[in-house]
Amino acid sequence: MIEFLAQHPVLAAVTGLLTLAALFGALLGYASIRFKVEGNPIVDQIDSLLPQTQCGQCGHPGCHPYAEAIANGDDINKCPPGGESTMEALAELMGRDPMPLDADPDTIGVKKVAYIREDECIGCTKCIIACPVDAIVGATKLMHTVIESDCTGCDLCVEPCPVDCIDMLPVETTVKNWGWNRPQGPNARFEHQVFASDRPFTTDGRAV
Amino acid sequence: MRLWDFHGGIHPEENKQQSVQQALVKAPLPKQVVLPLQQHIGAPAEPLVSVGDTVKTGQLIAQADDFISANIHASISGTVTAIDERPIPHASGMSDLCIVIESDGQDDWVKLEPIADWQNADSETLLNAIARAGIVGMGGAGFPTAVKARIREQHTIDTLVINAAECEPYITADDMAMRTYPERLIQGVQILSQLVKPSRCLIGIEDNKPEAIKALHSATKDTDIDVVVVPTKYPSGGEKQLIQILTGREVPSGGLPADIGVICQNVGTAIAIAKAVILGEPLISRITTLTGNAMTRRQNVDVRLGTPINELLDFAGFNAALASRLIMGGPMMGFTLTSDRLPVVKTTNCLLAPTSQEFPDPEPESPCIRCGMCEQACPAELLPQQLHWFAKAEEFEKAQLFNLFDCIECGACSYVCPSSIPLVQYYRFAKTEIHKEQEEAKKAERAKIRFEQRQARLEREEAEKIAARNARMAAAAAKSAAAKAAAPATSGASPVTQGLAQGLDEAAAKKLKIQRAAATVALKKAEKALTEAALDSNASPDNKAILEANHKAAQEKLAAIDQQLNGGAQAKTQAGANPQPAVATNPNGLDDAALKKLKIQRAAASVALKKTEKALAEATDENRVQLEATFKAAQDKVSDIEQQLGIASAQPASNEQSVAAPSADQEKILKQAKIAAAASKAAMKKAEKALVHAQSIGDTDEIAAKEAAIVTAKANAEKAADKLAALQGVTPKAPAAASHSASDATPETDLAAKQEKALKQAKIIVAATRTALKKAKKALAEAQDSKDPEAIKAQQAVVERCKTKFTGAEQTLAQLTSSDVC
Ligand code: SF4
Ligand code: SF4
Ligand code: SF4
Ligand code: SF4
Repeated sequence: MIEFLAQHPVLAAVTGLLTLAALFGALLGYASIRFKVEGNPIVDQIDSLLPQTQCGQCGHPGCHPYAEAIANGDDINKCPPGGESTMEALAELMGRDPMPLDADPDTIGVKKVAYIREDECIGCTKCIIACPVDAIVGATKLMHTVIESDCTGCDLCVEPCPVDCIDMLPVETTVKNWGWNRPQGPNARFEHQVFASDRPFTTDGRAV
Repeated sequence: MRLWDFHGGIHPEENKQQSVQQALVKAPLPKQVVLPLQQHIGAPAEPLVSVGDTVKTGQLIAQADDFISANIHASISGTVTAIDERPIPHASGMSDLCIVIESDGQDDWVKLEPIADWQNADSETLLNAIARAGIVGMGGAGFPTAVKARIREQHTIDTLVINAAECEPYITADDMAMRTYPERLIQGVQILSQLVKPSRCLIGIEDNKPEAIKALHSATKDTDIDVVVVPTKYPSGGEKQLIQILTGREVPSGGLPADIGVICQNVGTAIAIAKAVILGEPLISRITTLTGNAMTRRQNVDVRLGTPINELLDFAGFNAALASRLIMGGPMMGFTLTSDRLPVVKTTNCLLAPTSQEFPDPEPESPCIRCGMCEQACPAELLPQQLHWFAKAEEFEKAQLFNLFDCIECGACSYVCPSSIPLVQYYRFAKTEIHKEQEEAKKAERAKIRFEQRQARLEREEAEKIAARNARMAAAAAKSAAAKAAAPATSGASPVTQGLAQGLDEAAAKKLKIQRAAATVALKKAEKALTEAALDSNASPDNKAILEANHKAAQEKLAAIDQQLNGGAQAKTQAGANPQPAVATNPNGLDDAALKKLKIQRAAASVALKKTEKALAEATDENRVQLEATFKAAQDKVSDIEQQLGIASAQPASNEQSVAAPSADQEKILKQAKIAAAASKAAMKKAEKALVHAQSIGDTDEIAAKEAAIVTAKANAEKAADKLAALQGVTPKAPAAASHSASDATPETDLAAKQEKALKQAKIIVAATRTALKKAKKALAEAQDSKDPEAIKAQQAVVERCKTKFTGAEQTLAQLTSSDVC
């Protein structure tokens, strides 16, 4: 066999390649069984891009159903809480063209949080039932309140309240969530810039 | 001793001489202090005092609220006048919660608790003393020192570095502290080394502080602490840079100095530690440099925390007219303050008030010329130019790949940039955005988990409910079966059939009862309306008549239901006595109910099936076998139920066949007739409308034409209605006739079903005619309002017709109901 192959270099090459092909084929086949991915990876990927507000504004009962719908070809522009950035991320992931958001431009991307005016709350528990993330605490006939850090700002508790005591307030900027703004770019002075300008004056800027 | 060098760095003008000409002095005691609850990295402290409390200097007024947090102490004695939001020295210029103390001018201290024998104290005692004193890193970041000093619990530390480099221009606070209190510093270092137990202890100091170096040399003579003089270069005082200079070790990207066995503390921090342990004095004051050409007395002061900056500025002879701005911190890493009504905090190492000659307005930003100078200056060996592009394009992921978070924001790159690009601001912006994104991702993750958990909980509750209901139903069935089994089999019918039949009868009786209740309510309503109408003298006789008719109808209905109910009861007793007919009448109805039940069961079973399928798909190998068994069981159940369902539905289908054909035909005709009637009605309406229009215009020709059209339309409509009525008259009879032929072969219930259908239809017709009547009446009222005699007449006619139709429909209904009963 080996001698035969040695005498026929072309056949030897073909045999070698075929052997390799069979080997890698077997390897790949094994790998695809051994390392099988659980669940539907694309849906999970889409889901991880969605803001998880669970507001249903996309017309689906939560973010995961919308992720499934996108995976099945639904439009990618239906999530107002996610805003442009989510739409763009989805476009990139799905290899589709970005499209204008299907929402009222004033409401896109505004972070809000529910606030219950507690002295007006009658303790009807309707908002608790509506909240998709259990962000409201309270009991029958007792005052209710919103756990601010868990509220996704989905708006779903506002409508069921029979006494209209729930407000959606924009998330306030405090010292804790404050951050630097983007410098305006060329031709603008950056007001907070401190040094960089003390160079020309370092020699004559000394103490009098 | 061998020294290393770090990459990059710059040599800005030092400007340190101005503030070291005068000795360190104590600033005058403030009349009021404002102490922010967060002067450190981590969680804000929790207030322990309330408004109106009197406090003494050094008293604990807010307690660390978390592992990473720090205590706050009163820096003067006096009264707490407020705990509210006050502007704080922060780059945002915002407010935060502060405790405000009004001084009583006494500066009355609490009793301090020094640790007398600190050289032999154990580390827990020392750490507690440091934590109690609320000491944080005084170099600028403000990380709680006690937390940092505990580092030995997780890492082995071989080198303790004291950062005395103080590389930033203008700032001389550490320099003056070392000159004034070298012994305190050495004590602090000794306490630290007692805690950390390093093999060596280094004080790194830049060579531009000869006096401090001298003082340190003499203070460390009899100790094993090394004073290492390093060449002046900004930013050698950066923690990572100083460690590299002194040890040659590089802190890994994203790591801590402790990862390479080093811990670094600032001079001010070491002195505060010494004071806390040896004197028991909490951190209530700090050394701050007051400098800049807009001040006349440039010097270092020992100032109580919370002192308003404007008081300090007055003390330093600040001339606001000369100042271009007010900066907290140095010129490289500080930030401009928006106001001077702010308190001094634990991290205020310098207040810089330069003139506009010293610090003119920044140059406007120009585009990057890719000169590469920033890369040469960066002490962290980053690519500032690239980072700036990424930040500008908001490509934060790439920025992170290029180690954005290793940037120490030293400003060396912006300093050398010939285009005056505020590079650090771009990095800060990028970091902010990345942090925000991370926060959001975390929140989204939590929301998702909470949502899914809620969903799971709801499903579970639903499942439990269904299970409970099923159990209840099964129990009830078993009970009745048992009861029937006990009853004699003398009747000859199988006991189970009988039991079910009885249950069915009961259900029917219940339904009837409910109907009866509804009818009673309707009757009452009608009665009430009638009495009201009688009292109301204005009521038209027409109205009254209608009401009376209504009342009567309701009464009749009630009577019919009662009769039915009695009949049912009789039938039941009969069934008891003579099971044969009962069995004959009931099986089909029974089948209906059973069918429904089976269907529900099938739905439940298929849900279960699906669930197990899903579980199976997700299952790991271990429980697969078990799940597969469940799955199979579920499948069997479904097919079982389906089979049953097939048998059950086959039966009624065969029963119905005999009557289905004629009734279907009739129905079709009926439908057609109805459509014709509706169409002609619509035509009539249209014509009427047109007539009104014509009348309003006053065109006589037109009116005549329209009237003619209406007449034909009316005729059409009436014809259609007649036909419809005729057909409807036939329909109820049809099933009755069919039932005769069918009765021998199939049980009478078939007839009952047909009758029910006819009944329903009749009811619908009654309802429809009622609404038509109502509408007509409304139109009449409108016409009356408009006082158009013609229109009134026309409408009255319409009402009349509707009425007759209505009564006709009602009669049919009554007939049907009565026939239904027998
Ligand atoms: S619209 Fe609301 S529910 Fe839909 S994907 Fe966006 S956040 Fe989720
Ligand atoms: S509290 Fe209201 S707005 Fe917030 S998550 Fe719940 S339902 Fe939505
Ligand atoms: S600010 Fe950051 S990027 Fe610029 S030189 Fe300093 S460490 Fe390097
Ligand atoms: S120093 Fe300024 S101009 Fe030069 S490459 Fe860096 S960012 Fe660009």
